[in-house]
Amino acid sequence: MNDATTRRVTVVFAGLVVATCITWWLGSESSLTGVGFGPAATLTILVAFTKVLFIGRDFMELRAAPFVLRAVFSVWVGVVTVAAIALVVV
Amino acid sequence: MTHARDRMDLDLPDFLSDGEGIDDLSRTQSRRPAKVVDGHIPSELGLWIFILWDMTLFALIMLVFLWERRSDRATFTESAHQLIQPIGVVNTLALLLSSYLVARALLAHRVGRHLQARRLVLGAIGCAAVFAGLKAIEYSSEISGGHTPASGMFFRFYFILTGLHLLHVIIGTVLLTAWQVTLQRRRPWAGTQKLAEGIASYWHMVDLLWVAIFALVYLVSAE
Repeated sequence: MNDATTRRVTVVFAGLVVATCITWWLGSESSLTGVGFGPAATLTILVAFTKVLFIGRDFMELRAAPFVLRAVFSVWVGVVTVAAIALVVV
Repeated sequence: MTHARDRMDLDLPDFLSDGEGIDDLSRTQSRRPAKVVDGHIPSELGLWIFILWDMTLFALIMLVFLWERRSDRATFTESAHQLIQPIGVVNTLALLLSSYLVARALLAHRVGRHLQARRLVLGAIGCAAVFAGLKAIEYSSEISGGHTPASGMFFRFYFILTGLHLLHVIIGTVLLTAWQVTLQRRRPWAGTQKLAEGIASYWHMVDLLWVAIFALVYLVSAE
């Protein structure tokens, strides 16, 4: 088995779990008093779609995919992230 | 014989050359063309067109949800507070774990570790069952609390998004079970590559869609 790939997938999984806890913390009411709606919502969306990017690149193996496929996926993530932030914050 | 094997190795993608039992010489030879070829498409292009289409469909529904939220922010916030966030968090972690297990199962399948791959796929199916069970509890709680698709715009979108997603979880679980059967029959990787990679990619899509739904419907809407 490719040990390096296994290790990377494991590290990414650990990162995704930590990021989930961070987004939950950001979304919880108690944190809002200190952070404010705009920054908290923006950060929640950014962290969530960064997770999506890592799921695509490392779990879906797009890291090793042709450039066009990687680019289309990254553009999808970027467009949805920007649109979501604009609709929530602006 | 040696010449035939060399030719076969040259045709293999890079990830296969890292398998057990392949000597250093063939490993070196098989790595060279990987730099020439522009990457490997998991499964096949047709599946990716479907995946990207499905992701776009979900994205459009989520963006329309956020658009509707702008016109009635107070009601959306109040409605989002009726959702059981801890269930959403546990479901997110369950799907992330399932996705990790599927990624590991694919790596194990590639090098012929069928038993390990079977256990990992079984674990992923278990996570899917946890997700569906918790979703059933959540739906039951919401409906008994008077929150139905007819309760307003927020819950209409909530049931459409999570219902469509749950349908994907069920389809994905059936596909994971099919993969499990091919692993039980110990079919060689060459004959099952597209199936296994396709099922894994579909399952990861199910995971990433939930990550987005959880962030936008459960968290941002409640802020």
